[in-house]
Amino acid sequence: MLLELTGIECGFGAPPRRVQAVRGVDLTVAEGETLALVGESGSGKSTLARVAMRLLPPDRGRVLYAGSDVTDLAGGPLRRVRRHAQMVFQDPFASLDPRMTVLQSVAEPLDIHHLGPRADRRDRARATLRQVGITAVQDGKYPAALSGGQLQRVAIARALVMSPALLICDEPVSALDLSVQAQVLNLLMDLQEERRLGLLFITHDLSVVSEVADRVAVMYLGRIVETGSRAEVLSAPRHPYTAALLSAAAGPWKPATAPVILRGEPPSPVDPPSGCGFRERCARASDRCARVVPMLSAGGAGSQVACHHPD
Amino acid sequence: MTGGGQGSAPRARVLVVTGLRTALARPGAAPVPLVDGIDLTVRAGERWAIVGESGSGKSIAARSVMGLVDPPLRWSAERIEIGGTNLSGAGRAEWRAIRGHRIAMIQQDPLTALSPVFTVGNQLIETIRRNEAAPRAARRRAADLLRAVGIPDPERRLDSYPHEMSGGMRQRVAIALALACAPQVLIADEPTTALDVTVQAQILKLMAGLSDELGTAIVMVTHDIGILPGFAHQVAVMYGGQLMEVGPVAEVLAAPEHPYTRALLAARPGRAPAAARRRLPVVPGTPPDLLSARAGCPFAPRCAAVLPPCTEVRPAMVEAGLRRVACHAVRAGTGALP
Repeated sequence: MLLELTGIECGFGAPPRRVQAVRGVDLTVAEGETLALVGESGSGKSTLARVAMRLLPPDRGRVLYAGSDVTDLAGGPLRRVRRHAQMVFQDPFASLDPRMTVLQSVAEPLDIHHLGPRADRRDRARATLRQVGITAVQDGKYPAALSGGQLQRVAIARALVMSPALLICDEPVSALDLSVQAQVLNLLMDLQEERRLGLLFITHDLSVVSEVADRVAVMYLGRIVETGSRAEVLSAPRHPYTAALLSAAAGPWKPATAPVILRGEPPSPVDPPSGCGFRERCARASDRCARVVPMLSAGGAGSQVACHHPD
Repeated sequence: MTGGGQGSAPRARVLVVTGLRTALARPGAAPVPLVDGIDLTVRAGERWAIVGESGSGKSIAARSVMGLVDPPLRWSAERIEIGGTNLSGAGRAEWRAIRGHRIAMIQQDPLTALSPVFTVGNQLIETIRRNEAAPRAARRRAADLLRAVGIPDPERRLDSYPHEMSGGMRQRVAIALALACAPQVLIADEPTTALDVTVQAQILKLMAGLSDELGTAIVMVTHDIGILPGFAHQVAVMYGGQLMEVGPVAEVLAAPEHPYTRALLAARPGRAPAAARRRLPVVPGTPPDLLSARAGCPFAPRCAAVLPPCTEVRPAMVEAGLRRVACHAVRAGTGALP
């Protein structure tokens, strides 16, 4: 298994204002597989990604890369394993240095990790830029001269130049216009298949999930509430939250059902409800939901749902 | 969906805009056209969506309709009529009498509409008292408005500050504020873009319900085609500062005519979950560079159905049935090419 997270808990700040962002999550990504991690703001999906990148230390739980435990690594050893996992962020304007040219930005990680002979690094960066569809003319440009879609390609090149095994993309197309979004999604799928990348794709958009994912994990208030294959989760959601998300998402595939409109808003992770985090917005909530946290339990082939009253 | 001016008697026209142009003035250079001649007629109770990508000019068009553009932007219109009042060449005082009364606006970020240093009640009551003098009645009306936008415990919430509320609640307050003087037209610029999808569904339902109930016309500016079917009656697709296609939402989504609309709809992700992974149809190229001079159709450089006149002559808006399309290829009958 390329990436394995077990029992991850992660929070910020001190009591009584402590935010428990991730509350016990297990997750795996295999080689060549795309796992879509779906959730709304505050669900803990980005925190989980940072834990997976070893950018944040978890309070509890283990992070394994290709079977070896990297949870407690630091310094040089951490840097050496980290190059196998790379990340692409939502806002390409913020993730590239405005004072570096495109080529400099893409070559920089090779310098930092001393990968390959110095003379070859620029060539390697150039080759990666060509692969993501950035032309030689654009190599010397600064971020301000490029469009959002082009910058996101550069950000992808910067991640891929390291030849990672695992790529974590945090809302990589959310900031892009629809006509450009399709280009970047296609590029990610091409690169992933060519390089057998494990892809952890974080998004709030189920229509994007329906295009890219092999498996789906739905997060709500720091926990995974449903997980399974793309077809299982999207065509027969079992958790009421997944059903509501699906109803709010747009897409040609959308079943023609009456929209599920949830009441209320996602609760604050500072003061989560007892029991099931979703119960205050859930039409099926019972007394048990307020008392007992529902655990993920197996449904069909490999699918799991954390709900006392699943479909 | 009913309404939307499709009933027997045509409803009153509450917003009429013809030849709206907004340009960015540059010292020592030609002005850059951002909104390049658009026409729109909105009837009472209709919900319109102006759809476009970033840089299409949709937000600037909306602000221009409100008379809310400042130098270096300059706007002009052959005709602009709000609630029956002609505002061509109107001065500041005339606009002030219209804005907030006949036409109001909500924005993407409700915090830009709300003052952080006054309570929600304060801000609502201040607005209401422009029409309603008695303080007690104004407070009652403020609470009624909060109730109408689905805020629980409205009496108590009047004393809250915006920062004490969630994003969804703040957007509800912004809607209440916009509706305080019962406008005939509500302009909404990406009102749900900053919200979570489950909250977005609530706000859209609320806005649609209020417009049905009060007869308020809504012109929503959005980049998100996904929200159209359940919300808007009419859609205007914008690209490069111009309208490409205008018509009833159901019709345009089912059978788009303009090559841009078709490309945009095809590029939407979301296929049958059980289907094999595919590559999405792509719109080649990048959005237009607004600063470079252009002639003809702004979509021509990316268009699969491009014809010789497209790069030279701006296509005229042609009306056919309920639809208006500006495209040489559609007109020549070759618009259906790949």
